[in-house]
Amino acid sequence: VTGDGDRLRPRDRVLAQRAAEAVVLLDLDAGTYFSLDEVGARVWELCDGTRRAADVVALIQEEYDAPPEVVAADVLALLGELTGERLLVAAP
Amino acid sequence: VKAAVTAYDVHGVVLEVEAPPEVAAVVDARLLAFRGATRPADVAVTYRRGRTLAPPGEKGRPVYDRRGAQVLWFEDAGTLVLDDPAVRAVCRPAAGTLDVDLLADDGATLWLATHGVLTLCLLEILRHRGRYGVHAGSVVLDGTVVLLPGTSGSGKTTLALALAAAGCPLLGDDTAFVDAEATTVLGFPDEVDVTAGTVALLPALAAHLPGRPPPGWPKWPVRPELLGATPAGLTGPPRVLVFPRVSRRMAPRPRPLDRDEALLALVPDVLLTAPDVVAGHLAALAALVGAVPSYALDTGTDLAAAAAAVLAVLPAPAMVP
Repeated sequence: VTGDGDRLRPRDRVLAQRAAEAVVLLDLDAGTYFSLDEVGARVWELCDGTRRAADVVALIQEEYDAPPEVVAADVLALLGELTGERLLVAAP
Repeated sequence: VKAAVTAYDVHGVVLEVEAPPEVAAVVDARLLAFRGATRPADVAVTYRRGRTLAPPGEKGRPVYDRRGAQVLWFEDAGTLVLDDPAVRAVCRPAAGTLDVDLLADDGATLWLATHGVLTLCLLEILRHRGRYGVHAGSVVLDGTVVLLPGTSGSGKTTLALALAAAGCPLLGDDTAFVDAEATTVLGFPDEVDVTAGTVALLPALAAHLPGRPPPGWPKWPVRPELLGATPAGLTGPPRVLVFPRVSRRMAPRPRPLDRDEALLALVPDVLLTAPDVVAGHLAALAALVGAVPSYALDTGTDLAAAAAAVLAVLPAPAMVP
């Protein structure tokens, strides 16, 4: 489980493949796969071990033309799902 | 009884198959298009009757569900193990070995060992060598390949046979391969496995078939040359992906799929074994959906119309330099 202050990165043994806008994630250990839409794919890309959740929210708020509070709620919900599924983990 | 040894060159990967004669005959019927090799074997495939293989250890990760059979991947050993009451198979794809024990003497065991097990392991062996499987029927049109991807029961065999009847040589009804850049489709024209449902939709086929499949076999094996013209070669550039879906609609209806939808439809057939190999497979499939357009097609019950619908969505052939 990750805390607010953690920098987030993909867990080892999670593979990501972009097609066009979307990204497909494959969890080799669980044998499951997920699909992220365009914004989700951008969130995934930003979680490269250098950023905290708040940094990702701020960047998405800058990049997308939607009410900041809506973006924040959506991005935090997505990060909650991705960390809940252990697709993202805290960077060391 | 002496085991027969036969060599097959499957798109540059040479298999040497050693098996009891009755098993070798079934494998040979499937791999006929690839028989003969001019190079030493890359892969040794060995079938034996009786239990010779040790049971799988504890540390395997299940990678595939099949009724009654367990397919496990052992990361450290690089080994794929299929463990079924009637068949045990151990495949070392990187090393290039497949060993299969047949533990029962009935037709269902022979079918599993020479179809499901062989196909699964062959896919793993080939993708460790840069040939990535697509679960798809395929036909040739003007030297290019029309791919018909779909899971079991989606109607890819039926649609492939309908296109073959419409004059497009059949390159395979269930499996094709692409290279890493997806510039070339490698066909797999083995025996076509035909269900009663397909026979009902293609009555001309019934004349070629006995009343029931061989004992214990779920489908009828049919030589591809009985189903129309044979392709001039076994490879070609991809032209289009058409994902069939069985439906009760009378009229076939194609719908464009974007690249994201097409990739997501192909991903469930990727076996999750060695991470670098799986990553290469995903990249090849992404290259494929990026290279050619994709459509979903409700095939309907009029197969000639479904075949015509596939031909109607085709983009103009790629310019040949």
